[in-house]
Amino acid sequence: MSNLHAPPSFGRASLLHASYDLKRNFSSFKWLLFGGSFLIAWGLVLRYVILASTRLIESGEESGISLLILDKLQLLQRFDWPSYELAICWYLLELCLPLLVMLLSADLLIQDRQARRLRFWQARSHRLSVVLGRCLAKAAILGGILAIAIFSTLALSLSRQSGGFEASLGGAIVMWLLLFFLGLPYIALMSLSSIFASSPIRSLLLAFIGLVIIGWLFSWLANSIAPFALFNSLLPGSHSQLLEQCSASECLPAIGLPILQSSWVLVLSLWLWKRQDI
Amino acid sequence: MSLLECHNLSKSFGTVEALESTNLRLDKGSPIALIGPNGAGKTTFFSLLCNYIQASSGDIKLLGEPIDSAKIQGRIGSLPQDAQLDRELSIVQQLSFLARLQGFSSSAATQEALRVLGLVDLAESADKKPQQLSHGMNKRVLFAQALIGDPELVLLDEPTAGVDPNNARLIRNIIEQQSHKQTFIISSHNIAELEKLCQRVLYIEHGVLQEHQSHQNNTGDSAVIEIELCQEQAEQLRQQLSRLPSFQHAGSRNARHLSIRYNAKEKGFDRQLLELLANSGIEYQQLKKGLSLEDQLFSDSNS
Repeated sequence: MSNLHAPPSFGRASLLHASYDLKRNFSSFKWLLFGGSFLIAWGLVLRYVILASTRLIESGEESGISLLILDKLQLLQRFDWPSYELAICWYLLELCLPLLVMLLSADLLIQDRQARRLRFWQARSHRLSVVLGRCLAKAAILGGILAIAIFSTLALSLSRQSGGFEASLGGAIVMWLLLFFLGLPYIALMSLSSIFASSPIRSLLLAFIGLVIIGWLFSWLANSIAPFALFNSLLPGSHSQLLEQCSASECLPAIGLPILQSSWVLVLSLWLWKRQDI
Repeated sequence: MSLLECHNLSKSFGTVEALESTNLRLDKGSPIALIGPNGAGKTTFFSLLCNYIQASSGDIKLLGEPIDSAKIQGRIGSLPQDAQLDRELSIVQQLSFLARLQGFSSSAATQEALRVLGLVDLAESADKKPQQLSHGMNKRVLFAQALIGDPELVLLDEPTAGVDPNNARLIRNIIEQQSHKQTFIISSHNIAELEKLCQRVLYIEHGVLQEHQSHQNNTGDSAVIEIELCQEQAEQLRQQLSRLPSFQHAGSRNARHLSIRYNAKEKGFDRQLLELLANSGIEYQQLKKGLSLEDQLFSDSNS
């Protein structure tokens, strides 16, 4: 054998693919633009949504908007975040998370497959290590974005002395973990939809439509045959009820559900990718 | 160890059978040409060998291993047709990444990337991005990536398509130089180019793949000489050749070309032909012993 170098293991190859994707993203104008836009947008959210809402709540004015926020916070208070800032941050991020993650992961491998770059990589590593590597890279980007959003909110909260340092830091870490794991099923979902789509936009639409149709189907089945209610919880996004029933300090076990959702969607996706013509 | 084994390999796209059931075994050695008309199934067969597409039935072994085995990763290089490099990263970054996937350390991967870029005369462009290079230069980079780590088998799909003659020659030279240690399978429409490079030929038409048996020089008792004349004197030459005792038959593509078949058992036909040309004042451009690959494959008159 002329090749004296032992090829990397599956896991190592996946990490190499992930780091390559990250390096490529950070070298790309499109992604730098995305990153810059996110920073500006989040800065505006911090100033004009989180800070403004917190001030409204603290002032106790019973204006329309204050009532609206308080109404929402009745839900959030059950979640027991150490400060209003973190509570509003949680609400916003949980609301935006599915769209954010799906947008981030819309072009998981589609353009590489169209440009036939996938063929270079598959000659040297298992095809599934490429897919898994891409998912890892998107998870790393998700983790980074969440960290920026949550810890900037924490900094705002601490600067205004809204809550104790330890409690706020603990709450921020729990929030990061929860949102990170809640985002993973959507990355797995996009890896699945990217098999059937020829462009990121189509992949996004396919994921949305698929989620709606399968959700409707599962609900219909659950209404008809009670044991099928279990299937509902397997769909990405079906975590809200679970989270509303626990407080921030007790909710970490709830990450089991998104892990389960991510696992089965990813396994299905990898199974299909293995059989896919590239 | 065999280079390639196919057992009952076939591929259909819906109702269209792109590759009929194929059994084939090839050993390592000289470069192998994969030839066939458009739509014959060349790219399908090539894609099956590279595991880009799944076979409808049968199996393939490369270097003694199934094509999806981890044991052949890094031992096979391939140049897919129309593949594009990433626009975001430099060439050396992309090739280094590919080398790392083959098990090179970070620094060794950069060295290896520069080595293969040096082979295609592009070491000085290593830090450029693909969009800063011409189409031909990009093609050479793609060719270079197939050579990373000196793989035992290199599969090339149209390696010189869209490349200027000078760079096409560079690629051919590299294949010639490397073919003592690597086996190349080259799919191309350019038969003249393949004839220069390959001693073995796989011919595919209407999804039927077969190993072409070369009859370049002799078919039984007959031998062939092809002559290209400077002027339109093919008919005149044919009449004069008919007087030679070992002459059998002469076919013609045009008024300046003759494909002369003669009795191979009788020696001296070549000398007699040259004397005839000198005496009759007929000037020739090219004289070639044996049939060209193109004539072997496609010309009924010479078969």
